[in-house]
Formats: sequence, structure tokens, C-alpha cells
Amino acid sequence: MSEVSWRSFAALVEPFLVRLTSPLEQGTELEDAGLESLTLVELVAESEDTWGIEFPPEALHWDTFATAGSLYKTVSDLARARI
Amino acid sequence: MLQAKFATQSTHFCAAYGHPLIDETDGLACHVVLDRLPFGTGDNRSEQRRACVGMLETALQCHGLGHIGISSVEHTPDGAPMLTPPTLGSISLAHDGPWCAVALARVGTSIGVDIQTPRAVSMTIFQRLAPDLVPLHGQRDAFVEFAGRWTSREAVSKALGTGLRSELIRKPLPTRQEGTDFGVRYKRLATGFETALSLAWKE
Repeated sequence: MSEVSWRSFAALVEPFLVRLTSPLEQGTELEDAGLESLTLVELVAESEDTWGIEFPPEALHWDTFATAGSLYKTVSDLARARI
Repeated sequence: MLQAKFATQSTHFCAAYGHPLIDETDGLACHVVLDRLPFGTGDNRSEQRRACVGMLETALQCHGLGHIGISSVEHTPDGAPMLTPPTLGSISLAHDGPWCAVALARVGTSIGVDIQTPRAVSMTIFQRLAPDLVPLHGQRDAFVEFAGRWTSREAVSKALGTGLRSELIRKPLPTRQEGTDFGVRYKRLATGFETALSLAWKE
């Protein structure tokens, strides 16, 4: 799978965000929405298994997980790079 | 003064919630406090962080270190708290849900503390980080055990100061109550249904 749609991304991410009160948007701040270290690792694992990607060490930084948009960009870039 | 304070601190409190623990295992003299965040603390992470720093200030005052003040607390680029100047000692903070943990250690020791309230995690995570627990996935005791192991790895990561380094989240978690992980000593101080607590240190 080379493209990650926003819809599928949101469907994967939203269940992990226990404090999310409205649909996921690009600007949603993930930590405020409930992201913590264990959730982050869960998100990485599920993303890798779902889209056949692997987060490189340089992507495993809190900046990547700052907002839904920043994480979506990283996931999308990694998926495209698999082509 | 900080160093002398920790070197001479010998009272060993029980690790019951809300009481300070002076852990002197293997020569480490470290002050750990696990307590609930003050009543009224909101669900917002930044508010919880502020409450945690307030607990750190109280801990410093309780041990005659109030002159340091929380104004001496700054953050590394990875967001980890540090005392400035670093010659004052090492600190580590953790919070999860209603819980907050604060650890203080003497100069020359890099310290990490972590807490985690047990909760269900996916089979994917068990397969990656706790493969021996896979047959037990879904059982409450397995999630409690996983939370304890997770705090050990997180505490080690904090003591190393490596943030989200790849190996730390891809290699199976340490299974023992205490030992060495990535060259860092760790010890689980509490494991239970309410929260798990681990301490790690590197000298």
C-alpha cells in the first residue's frame, strides 16, 4: 500500500486518543488528545503493521507526534518511499 | 550541599503511595516520591505537568533543598527536566492519570523514573515487547506485568537521555524486577493494579 488516506489514518489513530473530543483534524495536538509514551509506541507498531512501513530512528522524535498533521505527513512520506 | 544531603540520608521509608522512598540499593541514594496529583488538577497534560513541578518543589523543600527552587528546573531539547546548573543533581518526573512521581539523585547520577497505570494494550505490542506474555494477552495480570516492564524500559530511557531511540521501543522489555537494560540499572519499586513505578540510574 503506497498511499495513506486521511480517512484510514484517522480511523487508526482516533481509538488511541482517549481525550479526543471531536473528529481528528490536521491541527489536533496529539498529547492534549491523550497521547503518552505507551500510546505512541502502540501507534508506531499499528502504523508499521498496517501500512508496511518502518519508522526510522530520526522519525522517532516527539516532533513527529506533535500534531495529527505532522504524524500523517511522516506516515504518508514513509508509505510513498516504499514504492 | 545536595550531595551531602543525599549521602547522609539513611531513613528508609516504605514505598507506600504518598510516602517518600529513599532507595539505597547498590549504593544508590535516591529520593523518590509517588503521590496523587493535587485534587482539582485537570485532565490537561500541561496542567498535570505544572502540578508535577509543584510536587517537585515540595519535595525539594521537605529535604532542605528549597533554596534551589523550581526556577532552577529547565528542559533538555527532548523535554526532560533538569536542574541548572547540573551540578545541583539529577531529577526525573513522570505522570500518568492521577499519579505523579518525582525522583531526585545526587550529583554524578543520571536518573529516570516512570509510572504507568495498567491498561489493555494490543496483541501487536505484546508480540513486539513482551512475547512471553502473548499466551496471557487479555488477562488483567498480564497487563499489570506489562505495565511494570514498560516503566522499567521508560525509566532506563530517561536515565540514558535518549528519548525515543529506536531500539528502546523495538526490543523486548526487561522481564526481571531489577537488573540492567541497555547498560543502565533499573528496579521496579511498585507493581500493582493502581500503578507501576520503576527507577533507573546510571553513574
